[in-house]
Amino acid sequence: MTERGSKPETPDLLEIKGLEAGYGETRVLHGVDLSIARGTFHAVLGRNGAGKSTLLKTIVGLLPPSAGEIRFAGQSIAGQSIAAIEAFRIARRGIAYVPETRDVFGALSVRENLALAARLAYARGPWNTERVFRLFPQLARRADNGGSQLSGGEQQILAIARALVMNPRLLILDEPTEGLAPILVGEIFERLGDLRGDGMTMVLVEQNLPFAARLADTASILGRGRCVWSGPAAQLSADAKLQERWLGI
Amino acid sequence: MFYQTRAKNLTVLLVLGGLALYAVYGGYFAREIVVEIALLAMLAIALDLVAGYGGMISLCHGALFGIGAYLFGGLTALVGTPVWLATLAALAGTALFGWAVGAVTAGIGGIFFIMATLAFGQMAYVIVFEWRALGGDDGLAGIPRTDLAGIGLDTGDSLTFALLSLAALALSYTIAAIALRSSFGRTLTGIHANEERMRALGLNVRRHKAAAFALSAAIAGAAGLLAAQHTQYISPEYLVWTVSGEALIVVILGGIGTLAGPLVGAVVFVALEHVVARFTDYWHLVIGILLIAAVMAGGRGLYGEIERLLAPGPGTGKGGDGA
Repeated sequence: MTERGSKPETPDLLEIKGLEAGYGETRVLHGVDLSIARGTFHAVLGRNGAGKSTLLKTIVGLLPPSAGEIRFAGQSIAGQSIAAIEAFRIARRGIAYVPETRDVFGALSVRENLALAARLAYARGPWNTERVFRLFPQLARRADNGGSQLSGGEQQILAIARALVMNPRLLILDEPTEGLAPILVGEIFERLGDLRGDGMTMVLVEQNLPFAARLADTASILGRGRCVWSGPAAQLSADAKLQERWLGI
Repeated sequence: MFYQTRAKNLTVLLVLGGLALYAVYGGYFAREIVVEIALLAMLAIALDLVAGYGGMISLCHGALFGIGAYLFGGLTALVGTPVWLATLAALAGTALFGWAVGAVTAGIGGIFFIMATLAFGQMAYVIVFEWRALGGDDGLAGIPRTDLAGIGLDTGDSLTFALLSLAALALSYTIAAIALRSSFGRTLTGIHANEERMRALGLNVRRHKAAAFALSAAIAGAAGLLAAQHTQYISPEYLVWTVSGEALIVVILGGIGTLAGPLVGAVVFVALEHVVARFTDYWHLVIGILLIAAVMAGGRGLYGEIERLLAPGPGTGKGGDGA
């Protein structure tokens, strides 16, 4: 677990080993192992309460792990060997997180929401306000509207756009289609597909298996705070027994 | 997010213009009141900056005001520092103290934040109170005013000093408004709305809060050093926590998170203090009732009512300043 001076570039952008985390006395993650290769679209599935959102919060530094290690781009960002790295430093290393709650700033306009994130962006890159407006034309039309005036779907799109202008190396999405009308689910599906085509590394937490399985290259299933299955997404969609055991109601 | 709307322009111009006219035509007593209002309004603007836009309800702004006064007073009256240098030193010193308060309290939330700022304020009060060289409880006299004879102004004259105080208020408002309109203010609004989200977007929240507090402290310190010049005598009374409480009352009465509201609040507060106190000792009761009315009317204070009169009809959706 020691830091090596010259570390070989591993193919995995994100490596999680034995991760344990929770809230206060309640442990939610009981040793999660997960590896995500550069340029892949990875889906994390699991029933309610399996620890999916907790896992994401721990990765982005909003929740300190009690054990285990997280490495990003070959460097440790959380774990016993290092002092806790603050969330803002993890974001600056290139992890953008779109929370389930969207957290659009209601008092700021669409344009201001984007400017806020763009100014803090850890790296310059291809993504700026104009480019996200090209990807999401409906946002451009509402550029000067306040965040609180947007519909739920528009807020979701803005939350994704706001993460993109950070020019992240890893984009993490927590149930982006939850509670949205089917037409918007389709729209977001298409745009995430576009991003995948661009080679963006993404982690998607999703309850909607068909949605996730059609987008993702690889998938994991969380169950009872552990990673109980990992493999190609296609294999999961074909395995009804696996689905029944870990995802069925 | 802060927008310098037409209603704000009008409100600020009316308050400043009205006070200037009152000072010009009102005689000595009126000018004293104008100075009192202008300095209280500066302190309230400073507080609204961090409380209304940054969500940091501070109870140490009285201490910041007092530190500005004592830095200026101590340097000029005791050390003999030139006034311009003492002014710069007082501004820098209060900004530094404010920065430290902001940095240390950045990770503290809610009621504990308020208590922590109170503790900082009390610490400053005790130090000044116990420091014999600063006169302790007896206070410190012999503080000079800014010498503007070079441009033909006699700051010893009550009218000149009143207008100077109003100019300082106008400048403070402008600086605060520019800061809030910039990306600095946008980020501050973001922290107020959702601190965790700002961290996940890559913001060093602690540093930003400290910077906001430093700017606020410099404005509060400017008000304090002008107060020291005004009375040319200062006492530890300046740093008592009730001064912070009064500033907070002015902000809430005028309209928290509106920046223009504190000006209105300061006018009403000082006016009530002088007018009502003529008839009854219970003028705080009147302030209390007004405060409750202002809070119950929607929390946008007196300025909220002014805005409703000036710009009737539904808001644009950007009306809510402070997140």
